[in-house]
Formats: sequence, C-alpha cells, structure tokens
Amino acid sequence: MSDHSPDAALAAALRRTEPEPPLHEVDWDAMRARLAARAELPLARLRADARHAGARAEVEAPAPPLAARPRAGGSRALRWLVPLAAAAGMGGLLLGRPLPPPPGGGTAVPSAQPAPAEVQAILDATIPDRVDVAIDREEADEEAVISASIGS
Amino acid sequence: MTRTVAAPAPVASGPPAGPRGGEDAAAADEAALVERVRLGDAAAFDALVTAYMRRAFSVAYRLMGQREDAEDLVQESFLAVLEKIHTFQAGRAFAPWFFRILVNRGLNARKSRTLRSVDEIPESAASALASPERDAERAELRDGLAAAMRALPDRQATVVRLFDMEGFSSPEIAEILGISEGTVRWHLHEARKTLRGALAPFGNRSTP
Repeated sequence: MSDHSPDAALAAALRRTEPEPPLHEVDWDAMRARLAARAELPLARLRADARHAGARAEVEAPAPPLAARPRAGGSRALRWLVPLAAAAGMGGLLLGRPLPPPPGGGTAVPSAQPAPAEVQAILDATIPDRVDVAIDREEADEEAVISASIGS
Repeated sequence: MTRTVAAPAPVASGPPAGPRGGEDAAAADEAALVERVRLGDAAAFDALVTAYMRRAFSVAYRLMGQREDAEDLVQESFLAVLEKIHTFQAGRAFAPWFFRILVNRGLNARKSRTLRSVDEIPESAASALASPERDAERAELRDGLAAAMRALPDRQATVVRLFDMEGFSSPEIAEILGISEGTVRWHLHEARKTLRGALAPFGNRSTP
C-alpha cells in the first residue's frame, strides 16, 4: 500500500469543505488563565502525592532492624563451635578428673549420664568468657571466637 | 485563502526541522517539563499548555466544528493530562499521548451531542468567484466532498483530518488512535478512495 504520502490537492479541497480553525478568534491568555485556575486542585494533589512518596522513601531507606540484619559469616560457625567446645570440655574433665570413690569404697565408675547441675557447671567452666563476649557481638569474627575458645 | 494553522511551538510534537541534536534537546526539555508537571509544578503545566494549546485547538475544532466546543475540549484534555499523568511513561513523546486523550474525548463528545451547524458552510470558506456557473460548480463540489466526509466512518474521517489537514505522521496517528501504522495507512487509503470518488465527477481535483 503506497497511499500514505501527503495529498496536497485533496487536503486543499477538504479545507474548502470545512472551516479553518479560527485561531485568531481565541483569547489565548484567557484560556491559559481558566486552565490555571481549574488546574490548581489537581496540581496541589500531585504535589501532595510527591511529598508523600518522598516521605515513604525516607522511611523505607534506613538499615533494616537488628534482627533482620544479615549475620556475619562467623556467627554461623558459632552454632557448631559452642556445643563442640562444650563437648570437648566435658570430655576433658571426665577423662582428666579423678572420680571420688564411692561411699562404700571400691573403684568409682563414671556415670553414663552426669547430673544436670554437673553438666551446667561443666558448660560454665568450658566456655570461656571471651567466647561469650564474642557470641554476643553481632560482628563476631570466626577467628576471634576460635581463638577465644582454645585460649590462644 | 492562506492556511492559518499555527506552527508548533518549540517543544511541540513531531520532529522539528534541523539537526538531530536540536531534536534531542527539545525532546529532553519536554521530558523535563512533563516530569515537573507530574510533581505538581504549576509553571511547568502552564508552559506545556502554552506549547500545545494552538495545535490542540486546531485538532479539536476539526473534530467539533464549533469554536466554543473546541475550546472546551482543549481545556478538558489538558485537565485530563493532570488526572492521567501518573500513567504517562517517562521517555515517551508527550504529543501523541496528549492528542490521544484529546481525540478520544472529541470523538466521544461528537457521538453524544447533537450536531448543530457543522454541516453549514461558513462564509469564510467561500472564495471570490468569476461567474455564477463557476460558483455553482464549486459549491456543488464542496457540498459533495463535505457529504462524503460526513459519510466516512469516524475512524477514517479522523485519520484523514489528522493526516491531510493537521499534518500528523502515520506513526503519530497510530499512537494517537492506539492502532498500528498499517491500519492507519489502510484507513487513509479507504478514506481517500471514497473522497476522490466524490471529486471525480468534477474532473480536476485541484479545485479553483
């Protein structure tokens, strides 16, 4: 289809059938003034929307709350390190510490299941304070925790 | 009679003549203006109105046929811009989007109102005639063409008005009407076939 170029003759004929837009009869300043008056409210709404959008952006921009912050890689190591340290401590104590003789004499046999209070005491003794402090810190460094736990 | 359609303002639609740098700069200026309107800047809105109101009135008048109706349509269309500015995609050309609003509203208004004196041929369209016979022939040609235009489907008539009378390009018309360029060309072809048929009895299409 090639009939898409301007047809001056047809355009001229058509303009003779329809009146030319009377641009000279329009009061353009009055039209602008009327539009400015009618546009006041819609423009005010747009300004308010823009302000609200800006305020929302400020609220959403700051760092996420503490609980949602991504944990340092070292903190994931703590999950296995602490029980490992506790187990090592318990094992060391059980192997290295002489058991009290039974009341009736004879050879003491280590109990298969230590009492809860004894377990707690072992845990408290095996987890050094420095590890506790490292665990508490959000930015716990894996190396620092390991160093603290082995006392190096 | 000299055609009096105003030339587009510097930020108006369509690629202005000149180097591409000027065209890009004008487009960038207009994009910044539209963005300021989106934020509720009254001065930017007034600048946009000033840039487009004459061409908008011209298109509106061709749709409505009456000055008052055309003015109303122009105002309603600019106010609709503010309502719909949140839907305007940054980076697009403003003119086709705006004229789409205007043309759609104009076509809807035409359907809902009773046409009054659109059919009349105003005095301003009459030309100085050398003889009564010539006068009658021209009037007959004019009437025939006018009747053919009125008989066209709305879409075809709109395409002809926008293309042949207002100077919009096929891509612009496609965007204004929300159709493909191929469809625009088809409507134009069909409309012209009808209109040229109306002119055929008078032989020479280049009217006196």
